Amino acid sequence: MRIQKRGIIYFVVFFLILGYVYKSFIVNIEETKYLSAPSFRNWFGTDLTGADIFLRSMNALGIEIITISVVLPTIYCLGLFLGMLLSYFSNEKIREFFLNLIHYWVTLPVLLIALFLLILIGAGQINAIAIMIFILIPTQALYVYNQLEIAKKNDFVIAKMSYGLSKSYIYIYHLFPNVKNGVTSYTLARMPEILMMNLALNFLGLGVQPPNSSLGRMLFDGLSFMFSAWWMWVFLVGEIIFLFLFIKKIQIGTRGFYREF
Amino acid sequence: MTIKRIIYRLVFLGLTILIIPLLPVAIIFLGISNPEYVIYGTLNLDVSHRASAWEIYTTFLRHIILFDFGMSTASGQLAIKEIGSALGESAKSIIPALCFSYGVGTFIGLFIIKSQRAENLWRKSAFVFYVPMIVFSYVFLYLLDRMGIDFLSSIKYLFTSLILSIYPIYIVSKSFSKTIFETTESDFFSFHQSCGFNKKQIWKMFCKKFVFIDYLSFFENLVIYMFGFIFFVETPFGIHGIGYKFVFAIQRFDYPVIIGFCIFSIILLSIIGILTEMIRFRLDPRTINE
Repeated sequence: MRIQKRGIIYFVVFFLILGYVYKSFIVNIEETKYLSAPSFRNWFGTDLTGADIFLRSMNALGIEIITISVVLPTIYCLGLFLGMLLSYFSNEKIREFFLNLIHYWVTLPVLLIALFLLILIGAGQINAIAIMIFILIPTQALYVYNQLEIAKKNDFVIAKMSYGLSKSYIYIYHLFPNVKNGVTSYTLARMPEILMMNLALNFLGLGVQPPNSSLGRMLFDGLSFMFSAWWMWVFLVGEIIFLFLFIKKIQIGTRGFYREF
Repeated sequence: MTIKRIIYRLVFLGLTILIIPLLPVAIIFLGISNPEYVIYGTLNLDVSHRASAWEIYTTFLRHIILFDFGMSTASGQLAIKEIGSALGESAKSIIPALCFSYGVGTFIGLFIIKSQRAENLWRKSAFVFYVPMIVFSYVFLYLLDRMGIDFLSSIKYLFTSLILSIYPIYIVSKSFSKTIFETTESDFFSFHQSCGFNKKQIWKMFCKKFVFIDYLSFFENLVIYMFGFIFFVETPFGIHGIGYKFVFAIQRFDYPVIIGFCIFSIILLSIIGILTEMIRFRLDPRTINE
């Protein structure tokens, strides 16, 4: 059963990549057809401007992947740095203040804050990525901090301290390797959150701007043709479901990988 | 610790109100982008008259404190009035969705505890909860039309509540089963059993309270989730709530409504969070010494 599921995923990925390459070559020789139903030429049909929906959706998928590959490593590194810094501070008052600040931030509606900031600084995918990084870092830092606090209570850390090793040495060479796997798993588990946020920002038209496409914006465009041109949204919905399930598979896979260590 | 946290939250809420008007000022004067039209439009200031940073800051702050976000450029109504009426419309979906999440989530949680088969089935079908709610909105809307049901009638509220509660049901059921498992395995439970109380009595006296406190701990997050993503259900179903109005305000560059909605929601949800934490603090016997 497991192999079958994996086989389906590989097949869909292979189909999308191959299709993209194939369609990229034939798109220029096509005559424009507005709102045409799926056919051999236009697998997912065409939209109101006559653009091929398959190509547009692949472009959107590429942008989603780029967004994740920028946001994830950035929040990983910055969250790790901030969490370590917070745990490193020995001043109780400062630490309490920052911890409460992060706790407060966690309870704020981050999507609304993102929208507010995006309205102010202007729409665009780069701005959207920057804001997503900004609003996701505090939770990441809080997780790293909690992990470090648990790791600090281990006997081996107390033993290392009694050897007279410096605090920074213990943090870099002993505590960081100890929490690294957990933090990586947690960061990967945030992929659906990032995708969902990106989908929301794009649905509102604040992310990717034309001529590029985004899944959120394409879905919004498809809403007006919900009953007259079903191909404008059905394939996109399928792609979104596939993307989320694919990410879930990656998460489960990486979790198993780290458990082995 | 909890009292301190509530005090900190109140202080930070105050700071947020003071900081929000600073953001546009900083953005304008740092030259990051060109939000003058957004700010001037929201504050009803004359664009040709170059206002100083202090003037913009104080005007914006006064508007936030008085909840006066100007007039909607699309409808000509007061932005706050528009937000208020939209909030009432959205409440018709959010409140049933919350009840639905807790009710169905608890019911499923009970099934998971009692039957191994139910647990396996639940685990296998968990992937449904990872599908974003926009997908459900589109699919439900299409199916309703195909079945000949008038989706513009009051039935739309039922479906929006259902869609909004899909992910929360997962959270509630998971949390419920975890709390029950942890409580029945705890020393506290064993202690009361050895004192001669039966399971039912212990459950009635203490465990119910723990479950309720547990539910309260993520109530705020559920409200934030539903509030934040409500446009995913309201826009397809055509409910003129906050989500729908927000989407169309963005389309029409109706800045008073956009900015007003963001600030109003941030303050409202922060207050809901503080109140929830205070209730939790009052009810939780573990914080009684504080």
